[in-house]
Amino acid sequence: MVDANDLRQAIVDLKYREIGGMVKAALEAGTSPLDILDSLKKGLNAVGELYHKREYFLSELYMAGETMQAAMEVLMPTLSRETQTGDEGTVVIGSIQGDIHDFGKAIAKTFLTASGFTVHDLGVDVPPAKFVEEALKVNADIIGVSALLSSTQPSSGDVVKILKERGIRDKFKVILGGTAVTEWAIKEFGLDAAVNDATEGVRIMKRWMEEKRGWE
Amino acid sequence: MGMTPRERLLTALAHKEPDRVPLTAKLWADTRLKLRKHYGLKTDEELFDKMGIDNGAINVGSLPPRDWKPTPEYAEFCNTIGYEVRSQYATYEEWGIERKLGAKGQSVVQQFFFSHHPWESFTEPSQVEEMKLPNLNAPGRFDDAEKTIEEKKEVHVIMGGLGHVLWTRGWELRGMLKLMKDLHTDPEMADAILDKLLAYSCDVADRLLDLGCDGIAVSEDWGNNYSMFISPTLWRKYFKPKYKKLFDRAKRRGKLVFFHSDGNITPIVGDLVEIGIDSLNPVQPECMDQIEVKQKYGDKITIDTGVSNQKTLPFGTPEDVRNETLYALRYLAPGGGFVYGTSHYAMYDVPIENVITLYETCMKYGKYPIRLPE
Repeated sequence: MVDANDLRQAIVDLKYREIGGMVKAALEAGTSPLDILDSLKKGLNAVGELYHKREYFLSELYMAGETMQAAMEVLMPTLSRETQTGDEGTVVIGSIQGDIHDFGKAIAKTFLTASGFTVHDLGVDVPPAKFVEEALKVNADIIGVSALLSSTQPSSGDVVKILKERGIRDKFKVILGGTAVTEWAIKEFGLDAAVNDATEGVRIMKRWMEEKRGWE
Repeated sequence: MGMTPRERLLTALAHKEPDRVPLTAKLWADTRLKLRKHYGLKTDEELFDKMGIDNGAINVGSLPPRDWKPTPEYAEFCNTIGYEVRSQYATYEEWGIERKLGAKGQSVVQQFFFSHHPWESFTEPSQVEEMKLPNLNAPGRFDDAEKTIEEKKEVHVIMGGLGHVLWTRGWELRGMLKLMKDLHTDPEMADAILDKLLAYSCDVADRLLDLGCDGIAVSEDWGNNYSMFISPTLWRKYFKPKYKKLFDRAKRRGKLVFFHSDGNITPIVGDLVEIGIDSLNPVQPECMDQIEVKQKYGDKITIDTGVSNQKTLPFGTPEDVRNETLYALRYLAPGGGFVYGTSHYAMYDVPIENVITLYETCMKYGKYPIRLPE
C-alpha cells in the first residue's frame, strides 16, 4: 500500500526509477489523483527546503524535477483538464540578451511548472523588448529574467525601462535570477526581486500571486 | 634586485613571505586592449610589466598534432571568436564536442555554447570504454609545451595544464544533466566515463611532468555562488578518490598541484587539501569565506584569488577596489601562501580605472612585510 507520505518521501529521496510504479499503485488503491498530486508537490517543496539548508544541491534539485516528471507521466492522464493547466500564474522566462546560459533557467522552469505556473520560455539571448512583447501577448503576471554574467545583468533594467516607457510597469512583476545576482540589483535596475536561487525565486513568485489574488 | 616571478611564487607556495605579493591577471581581450591604449603600449607583455603583473605560473598543455587539419567550419569559428586554430581549445574538436557561436554582447570576443555532447546518447558503459581518445603519441602534441618550458623555466613556474579532467570534461562529453543523472541513477555508467577520463588525464600529467613541468594544474568548476553542483557526498564517492590518483602522479615526484574551481566549494576544501592540492583558485570572494580558508588551511595551501570580478570590478568605484585589495592584503597576505589579481576575467564591463587601482594598490602596499595605511 502506497500512502501519501510515501509519495512525498519518494520525491525527497529522488526515487526516479520507482516513482511511476508507486503512483500507479496509489491510483489502483483508490487514492484520488488530486491527493497524489498534493503529496508530490509537498515532496518538491521539501526538496526546496533542503536546498535552502544546503543539504541538497543542484543535481538533487534537477533529479527531484525529473522524479516529479516521471510521476506526472503516470498521473497526468487521470487528472481533469482544469487541474492540468497551470493556474498559479503565468510567467515569461528567458536568458537575457548577451547571455547563452540556460541551466539556472531550466531549474527555475521545472520548479515553476511543478508549482502550478504556466511558463513561456523564450530561450537564450533574448532582447529586453521581446520579454515585454511576450508578456503582453500571453497576459503574463511575471517576467523572469535569467542572467549569469555580471555584464548581462544590467539588461534586466532595460526590461523595466521599456515597461515604464510604455506605461505598463505595474502590470508585471519583474524578477532577475542568476548565480552572481545579489539583492543590490533590485534597486540598481528597478526590479521587484533578484535572487541567486531558483527555489527562492519560485517562493517569491508564489507569494506575489497570493497577494494578487488577495487584491482581486 | 627583486625576485624573479618564479622565485616569488615558489616562496609564496612554501608559505614564506617573498619580496612582494605575486600578481596574476585574468583580463578579457577588451580590457587588455583598453589598458594598452591607456598606457600607449603595444603588447600584453609590456602591459603586464608596466602594471607589475608577474604571472609567476605559466600553463602549458597538449595541442592537436602537427598534421591536424581543422574543418573549414572550425577555422571559421576560430576566426570569428578570436582563437588561434591550433590551440589547447582545439582539443574540443578532437573529442568531438561541438560548439556554436553564441551571444556577443558588446565584447570583441564572441561567446560560444556547447551544441553537441558526443557521449550523450550512450546507454551502455561498454560504449564509453570503446571510445578512442586523442592519441598522445601523435607528433607535435607537446611542441608548444617543450618550447615554453625551455624558454621560460628559469623565470617562471611551469604548470602542466590538464584543463578540464573529470567533471567538466565529463559533462562536455556527456551533457551536464545526463552526467548528473548518471551519478544519481547509473553508477556503472558514471564510473565508466570518469575512469576513462582519469586514465587519459594521468597519461597527460605523466608526459607533461616528464618534460619538466613543476606541477599540474586542474581546472574544474564545482559550484555556483550559492553552493555546489552536486552534493559533497556524491563528490566524495565518485571524484575524490579519482582526483587523489591524479594528484599522486605529481606528488610522488615532489611536484605541485594547482586546483581551480569557481563557485562556493566550501564543503570540499578540506578534502582537496587532504588529497594534496598546493594552490586553490579563486576561493571566490563573492561566496566563500576567504579568511576562514586562510585560518584553517593557510599553512597547507596557497590562496590564489583577487578582487571580485562579479561585483567590485565591474560595478564598484576605484575606492571600493582599493578597500577590497587592502582588506585582502591585511588578512590573507601575511606569512605568504597568497597570490592576488582579478578573481576571474575582468570583462568588457569593467572600467579600467578599477583594474589600474587594483594593481597600483598591490604594488604600493603589497611589499613584504605588509604595512598598510591606518
